[in-house]
Amino acid sequence: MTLLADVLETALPASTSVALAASGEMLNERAGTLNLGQEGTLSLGAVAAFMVGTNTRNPVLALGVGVLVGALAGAVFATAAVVIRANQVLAGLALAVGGIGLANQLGNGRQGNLLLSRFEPVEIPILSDIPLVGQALFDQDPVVYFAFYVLPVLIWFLLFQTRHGMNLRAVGENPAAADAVGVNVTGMRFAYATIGAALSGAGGAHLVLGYTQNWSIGVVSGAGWVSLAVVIFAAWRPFLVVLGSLLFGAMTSLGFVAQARGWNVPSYVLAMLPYIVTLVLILVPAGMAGFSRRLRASAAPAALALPYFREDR
Amino acid sequence: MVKARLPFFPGSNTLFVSIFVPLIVAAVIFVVFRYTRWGYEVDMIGGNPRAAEFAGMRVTRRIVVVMLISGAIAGVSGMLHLAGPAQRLNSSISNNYGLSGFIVAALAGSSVVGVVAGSVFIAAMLHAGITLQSDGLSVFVVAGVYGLVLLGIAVGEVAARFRVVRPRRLEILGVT
Repeated sequence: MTLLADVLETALPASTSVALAASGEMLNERAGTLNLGQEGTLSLGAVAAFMVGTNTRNPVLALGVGVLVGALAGAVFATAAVVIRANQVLAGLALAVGGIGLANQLGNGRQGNLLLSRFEPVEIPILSDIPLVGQALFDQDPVVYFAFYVLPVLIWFLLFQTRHGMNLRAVGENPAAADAVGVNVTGMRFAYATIGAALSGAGGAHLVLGYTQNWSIGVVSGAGWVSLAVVIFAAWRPFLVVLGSLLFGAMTSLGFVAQARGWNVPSYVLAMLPYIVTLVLILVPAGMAGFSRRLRASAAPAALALPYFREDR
Repeated sequence: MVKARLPFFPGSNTLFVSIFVPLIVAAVIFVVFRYTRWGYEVDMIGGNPRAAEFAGMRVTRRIVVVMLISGAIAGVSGMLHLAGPAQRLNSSISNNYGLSGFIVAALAGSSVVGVVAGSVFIAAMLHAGITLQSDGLSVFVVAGVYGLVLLGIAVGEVAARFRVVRPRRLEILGVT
C-alpha cells in the first residue's frame, strides 16, 4: 500500500498544472468558447514565471506574473474568437503554436538558470496524520491545495449555486435565449475566456515553480492537450475535472515510481502510459452515455465553439 | 539510415517522386466527394448526422471507415517523409506535422484545393524558418510568427465577409 502513497505524493504536484488548465478550460467551454490554445498558454505562463522566479525570491510574485501573462494570452484569443468571432479552432491553434514558439524564444538560453523562488510544502496539521495517504495528500504546497481542494468547490458553487453561474451556462447552451433575457453574451464569453486562460497561466507557473523547478524546451510536454481531453472525460463537471487530472498525474508518477523500484518495463512504455490512459478514459463517458440518460444529458455545452451572431437569431 | 529510399524527381536532387502522392490523394478525394454516393453521404453526415441517420445512412459505419482512411493517409505520409527527406528515424521525426495538418484542414474548410494550397503555404513558412536560421534567426521566432499569421488568417476570414456599403439617399431619409 505504500505504492499508493508513493504514487500520490508525486501525482499531485505533477498534475496541478493539468488540473488548473482543465478547470479553466471547463469554465470557458461552459460559456461556449473552445480554447485549443492551452498548450501555448501553459508554456507562456511557465516561461514568465521562470523568468521572474530566477530574478526574485518571491514565488507568489512569479505565480502572479504567470497568471497575468495567461490572462493576456486569453484576452488576445478572446478578442479574435469572441469579439471578432473568428473560427475558434483556428484562433485556438494559433495561440497554441504561437504561444509555444514565443515561450521557447523567451526561455531560450535561460535553461538551467537557478530558480530562486519555489513553492515549499506546507503540512496541514491533523489531516496529514491520516494513515497511508495523509502525507501524500496534505503535505504539499499551497497551489496544490488550491487546485485540488479549493478551486473545484469554488467553480461548482459559481456554476450551480449562483444566478451568475446559471447565466454563464445559458450562454454556453443557448446564447440567443441568454441574450434575450439580457445577459451580455460577448462580455460573458470574453471574461471567461480570459479567466480560463489565466488559470492555465497559473498552471504553467506552478509547473515550473512547484514541480520541475526548472525550465527547458518542451517542459509543458502535452499538459495543455491533456487538459482538453480531461474536460471531455469529466463531462464538463468541476470535481471530475480535478479527479481526471489527478489520474493523469498518477500515471505520470507511476512511471517514475516504476523506474525507482526497478520494475522491468521499458521507459518509453512508461512515458506513454499517461496518454494511453487519457485516451482510454475519454471512451468511458461515451460508453456510459449509452447506458444512462442522466450522463447523456451532461454532454458538451450545446453552443460550444459556435460564434454568436445576434443578427442570426 | 533507411535502405528503402525513394527515387528523386527526375532532374532534381532535393525533390522526391513522393511529391505526386499528396496530389493523387487530393485528386481522389475531390472525385470521391464530388461524384460518388459514398462521398455525398460522408459530406451529409458531417453536415447533419441526425438527418443522415433518418435518411437511412449508416452513420457509424461511414465515420469509422473515414477514420480508418484518414489514419492510413497519415501513416503513408509518415513513411514518405522517412524514405524521402528524413532518411533517419528519430524520436522527433513527426516534428508536429500532425498539428500542422490539423491547422491546414481548419484553414481549408472543406475545400480540397484549399488543403493543397494551405499545405504548401504552411510548409513554405516552416521551411523558411529553417533557412532563416542560418541568418541567425531563432527557429522559435518562426513558430511565434506562424501563430501570428494563423491568428491573422482567422481574423481576416471574418473581416473578408464585411463590405463597405454606402446607403442610398432615400434609405437615409427612412423611405424604402
